[in-house]
Amino acid sequence: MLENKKQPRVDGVEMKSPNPNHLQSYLRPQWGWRTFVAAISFILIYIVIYIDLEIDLNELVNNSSKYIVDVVGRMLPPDFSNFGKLALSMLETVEIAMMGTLLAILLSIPMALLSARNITPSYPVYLISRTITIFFRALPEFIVAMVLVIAVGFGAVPGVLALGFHTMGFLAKFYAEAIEHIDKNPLEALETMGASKWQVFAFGVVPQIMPSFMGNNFYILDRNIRMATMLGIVGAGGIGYELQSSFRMFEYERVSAIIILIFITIFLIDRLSSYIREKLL
Amino acid sequence: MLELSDLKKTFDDGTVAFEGVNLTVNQGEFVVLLGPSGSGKTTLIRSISGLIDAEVGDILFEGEKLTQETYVRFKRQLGIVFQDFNLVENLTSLNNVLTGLLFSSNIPMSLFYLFNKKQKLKALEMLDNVGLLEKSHSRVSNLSGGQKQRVGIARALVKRPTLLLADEPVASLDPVISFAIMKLLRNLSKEFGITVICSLHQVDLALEFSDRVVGLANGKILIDAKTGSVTKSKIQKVYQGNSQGLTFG
Repeated sequence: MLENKKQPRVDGVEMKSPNPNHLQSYLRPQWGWRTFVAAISFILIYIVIYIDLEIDLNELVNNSSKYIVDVVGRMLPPDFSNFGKLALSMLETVEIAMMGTLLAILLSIPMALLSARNITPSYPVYLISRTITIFFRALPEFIVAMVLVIAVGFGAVPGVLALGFHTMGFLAKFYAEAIEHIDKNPLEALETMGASKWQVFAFGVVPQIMPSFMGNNFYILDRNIRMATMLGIVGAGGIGYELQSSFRMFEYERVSAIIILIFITIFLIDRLSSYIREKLL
Repeated sequence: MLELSDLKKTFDDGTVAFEGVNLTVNQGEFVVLLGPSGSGKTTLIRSISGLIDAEVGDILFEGEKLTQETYVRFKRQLGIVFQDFNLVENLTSLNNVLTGLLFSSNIPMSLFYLFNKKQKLKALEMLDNVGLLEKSHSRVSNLSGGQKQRVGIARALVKRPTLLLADEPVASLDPVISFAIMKLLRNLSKEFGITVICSLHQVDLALEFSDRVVGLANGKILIDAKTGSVTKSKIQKVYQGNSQGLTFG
């Protein structure tokens, strides 16, 4: 009883010391020296990069800006005289992106199952599948498309293949990470109730990864539409080809029309995908 | 119905979860495993369910020793209610309850979430039994803790198991909801003639709803008595003399 009086208790837990001064020794500065070193290193790295790239801010503000204004001036007003043709090219770009995304999804599902640490059949399989996904992620679609244009000729096919294989690398990584972070408790419950391995996957894993699956697919579709416009420049079909031609012919008013068309398309698809995502998830 | 014989489990770090556990549970009994946190209740429940292996001893279900092979049959007669519900949050209440019938479903069909009408009606009836028919098509993530546990109970009972294991089913719920959930569990198990082994750390709930109390402390059974004959001194023995704050009968 005497001991209880000396040492106050809070919910049955004894306080080590009633002396508030002893708490002072636990105080630490909010910003430690590591933070200062990191901040200074960050600034120094960027100064070195700035010098190495020979960026002249003065030149950029005083002279280059005049040329920029001149180029933008030549782009106005946008020339929509050939709208029908441009719209069809834009549609082809969207189609290339959609086919590329579908290919990426189909390829990435098995790759993700093999490269998710918690469900991969074995470590060597995990390592091989991870290496494959890293390889395709590291290989820019621009280069893949250039190679494929040489191999299979101009048109949509090299664009679809380039987008499909490159973004498979991303999607497989996203899916695998989603699978690795699922809550294992529902899987345990399903197992104890006698569900088979595939039933556990269908009812335990799939519903848990579905929100990120849908979100990532829409993100990749959005990205592929933007990239598909670029792939046309190397001959892989779509609006990019029109853009390249207009630049070569110095038809800047037509270039601005194409840029506006690309912007409107991506804006509409962004709104549409947000709406679908909201409804589905 | 269920017989545990000289069961022992030691974790990798050398901690003995329980040892020398001998217990016979009779058909239709509602047995509460009572004890403080860390007494071995959950590990014992998990050992019975086959989620972890007991290193020593036997588990006999309806006279048959449980092995890797017999567990498949045993699981068909087993229902489990978990402390954290272990539901699939993105699925509806109905689909969660239907997972309780996966073992008897056509596998290819079930992979596409296709169940027959009889199964769906069975699941809906179970949701009606737990008072959640109106929430059949609501996602579990939108339900309250008490409602989630009721879905968990419906999932466990939809296949009409002969044995129900409930691992701290009300540990994460408030006292009023806890009482309601325990009452539901008790009523449904009696109605369907299901044997229940339920771990709890709330003495008042254990005494209110069980037929028999098995007190565990430090992995050993200290008391095993009909609920009516459980005395305060027996409870104190389980809680190692510290009955402070315990609500008793």
